[in-house]
Amino acid sequence: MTKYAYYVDLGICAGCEACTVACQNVNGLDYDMRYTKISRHMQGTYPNVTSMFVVNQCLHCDDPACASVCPTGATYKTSEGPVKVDYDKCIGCKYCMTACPYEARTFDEEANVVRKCSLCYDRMAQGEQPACVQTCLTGARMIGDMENPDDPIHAAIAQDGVVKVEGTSFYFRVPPGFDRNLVPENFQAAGITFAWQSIFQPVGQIMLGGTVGALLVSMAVNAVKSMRKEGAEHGDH
Amino acid sequence: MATIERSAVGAGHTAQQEIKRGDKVLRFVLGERLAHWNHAITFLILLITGGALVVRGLAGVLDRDILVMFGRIHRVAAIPFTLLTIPLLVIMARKTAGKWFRDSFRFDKDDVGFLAGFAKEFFGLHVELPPQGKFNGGEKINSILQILGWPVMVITGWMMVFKTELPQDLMAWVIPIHSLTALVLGCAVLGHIYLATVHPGSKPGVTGMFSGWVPAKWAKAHYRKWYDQLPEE
Repeated sequence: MTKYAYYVDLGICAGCEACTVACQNVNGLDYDMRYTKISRHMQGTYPNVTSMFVVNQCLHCDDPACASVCPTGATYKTSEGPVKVDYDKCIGCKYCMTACPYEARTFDEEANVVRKCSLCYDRMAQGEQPACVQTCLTGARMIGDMENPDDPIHAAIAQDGVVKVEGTSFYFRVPPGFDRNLVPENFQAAGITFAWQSIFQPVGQIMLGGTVGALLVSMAVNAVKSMRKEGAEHGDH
Repeated sequence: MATIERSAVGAGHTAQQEIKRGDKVLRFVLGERLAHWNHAITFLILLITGGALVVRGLAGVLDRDILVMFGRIHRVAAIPFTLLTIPLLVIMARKTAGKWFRDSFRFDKDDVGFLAGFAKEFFGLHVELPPQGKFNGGEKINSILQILGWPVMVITGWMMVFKTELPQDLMAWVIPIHSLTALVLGCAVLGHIYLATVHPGSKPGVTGMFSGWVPAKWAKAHYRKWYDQLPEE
């Protein structure tokens, strides 16, 4: 079994955005639609200024909120880790956009679907690397198989300063002198999503089923009654 | 209390409203009927087009294009659902609708007695139900659900149009509230339609929502307190 993990060394990311462009190219995205976003963080006061680049994209959560709320099942978690969207099923309701804690979802007005990074799942199935990893000029990005003990990803994530974003497939190395909070926070499912799925939705459906059941019983009893009444009237004649 | 009672009875004496004519009684004026059908038709469209997203599995069965179309119809139907019902009531049926509104929240022991007995009658058992006003205990519950549920659906529904612009933490509550309220109202509507069209005891009243008139005999048997205070033709 393959279990993908993704690592970004923010200490060597040069902010060139080649990943963003390669991703747009592979996925046929418009220039303003980005699955992977790079922004610059600066700190200190001149002349003692340091900076690093921050990466924001889909972190391929272990129990993705976007998939939980998807009413059509278009968004789903693959067994290998990447969270995918079946665009033939997506109806553009945007529920996933309200649930994603990482703002990793992009609405495609023209196609009326909500798009996202698939970790180049289909490319990887053909033995290729994700476009962002393949293009990264400094080698800051890496994808690996956690189930394979020989995979270089293990050495990469064992380094000092590596932060695992809990509940996701992502690891970031934060260079010394920068705060952990610059990378995305650990995944935390909204309590209400849990409540909805385990309480409200079943209760609502039981209520609906109960109502239909009660109507059917009432209908049957009254039908039998009126038949009996007719029978009795016939008997009188 | 006495003034309210007197004014409520007074409303019943208005020239064109709530009168007996031959073997018929006027139960709903035109404005009430129009408001009812606007609310009913748009609600049903909204329930069907929105329900596919709430009842799990239904969305998997239906084609993507149908669901997308449902989404568009849902937003169009929401406009008359939101805008028309109250103006129709206020402009065309202010007196009777106002009385309905006030009566809906006023439960007396006969209403409670009705609810207890009706549960049995619903399943075909014979019971003597206490005399009722213009609206029985069950109708009052349906009215309360609609009166309270309507603003919930309207407010949460229009918020959902702007779901990506509003705070995530807020929308995490708004969407389930919209869905759950729809399910509760959906149950009430199923019961309401059944009683109006199938259930032998109550279905003679359905003409009240078409022509406005109902059989006097039926009205007397079902709404004794209302019937007795109606003026003669």
